[in-house]
Amino acid sequence: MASRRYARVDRAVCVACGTCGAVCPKGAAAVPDGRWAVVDAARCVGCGLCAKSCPAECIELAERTAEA
Amino acid sequence: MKKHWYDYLWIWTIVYFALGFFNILFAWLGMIDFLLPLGFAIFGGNKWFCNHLCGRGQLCLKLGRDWKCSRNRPTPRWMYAGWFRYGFLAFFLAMFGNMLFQTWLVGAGAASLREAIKLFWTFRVPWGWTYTAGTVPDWVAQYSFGFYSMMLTSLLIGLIVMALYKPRSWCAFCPMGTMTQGICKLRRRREKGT
Repeated sequence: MASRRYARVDRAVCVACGTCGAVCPKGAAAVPDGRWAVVDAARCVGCGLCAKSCPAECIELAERTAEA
Repeated sequence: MKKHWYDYLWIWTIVYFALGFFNILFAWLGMIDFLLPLGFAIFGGNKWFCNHLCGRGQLCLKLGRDWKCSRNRPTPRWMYAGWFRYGFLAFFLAMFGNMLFQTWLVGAGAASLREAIKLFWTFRVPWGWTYTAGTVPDWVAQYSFGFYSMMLTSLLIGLIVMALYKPRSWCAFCPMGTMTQGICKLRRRREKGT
C-alpha cells in the first residue's frame, strides 16, 4: 500500500547536490539530468529523510492525491 | 541499500589533505575533483560527480549524520539563494584567477616562490616543510601551495557550515556544484531549443 505522503521537490530552489539520493532508503530520489532532484512518487514511502537532509530546504512532504 | 566503491570516497578526501601535509605536490591530485565534475556536466549533461563521487560531500554527511557532529539546523535561506550561490562562484573564480596569476608570476621569474598556504584567502600559514626547493620548477610548486590553500579553505568552510547547519550545507553554495548545475541547465535549454 502506498504511503499517505510523498516527497515533493521545489525545482526552482533545488541545487542538485544529490543529498536526497544519498540518504533515501528506497532509492526513490535522484538527480537524473543535473538540473534538479526528482522523486519517484511510486517508490517514495514518505519517510522524510530527504526533506530533513536537503541543504537547500527544497523538499517537502505532500499529501498524496489521486495522481501521485 | 547496496554500497558501491564510490560510497567510500570520503576516505579519499581525508587522504588527499593528509598527503598535502607531507608533500605539497600531492595538491595537484585535487585537479581530479576540479575537472571531473566539469567533464560530467559538459560531456554528460549531469551532476554524477556531485551525486556519487564527491568525497567532500560524503565526508560532511559522514561527520554530520553518522558521527553526529552537526547541529542539523535548517540552512539559512540566503545560503542557497541564487544571488549568494552565483556571487560566491564569482568570488571563487576570481580567487582562482588570482592564484593562476601568482603562478604565472613565479613561472616568469617576476615573483619568488612562497612556501606558505593562505587560509580563507587572508591568513598566511607557513607550510615550507612539505616542499624541498628545486624538486620541480617553482611555478609547479607555487600552484600546489595555491591550490591546496583553496581546497583546504573550502573544506574548512564546509566543515563549519556542516557543524552549524545541515551536514551537506556546503553543497548549497559549493562553487563547483553551482557551476555544473548551471552548465546542465544551459545544456538542456540548448537541447530543447534545437
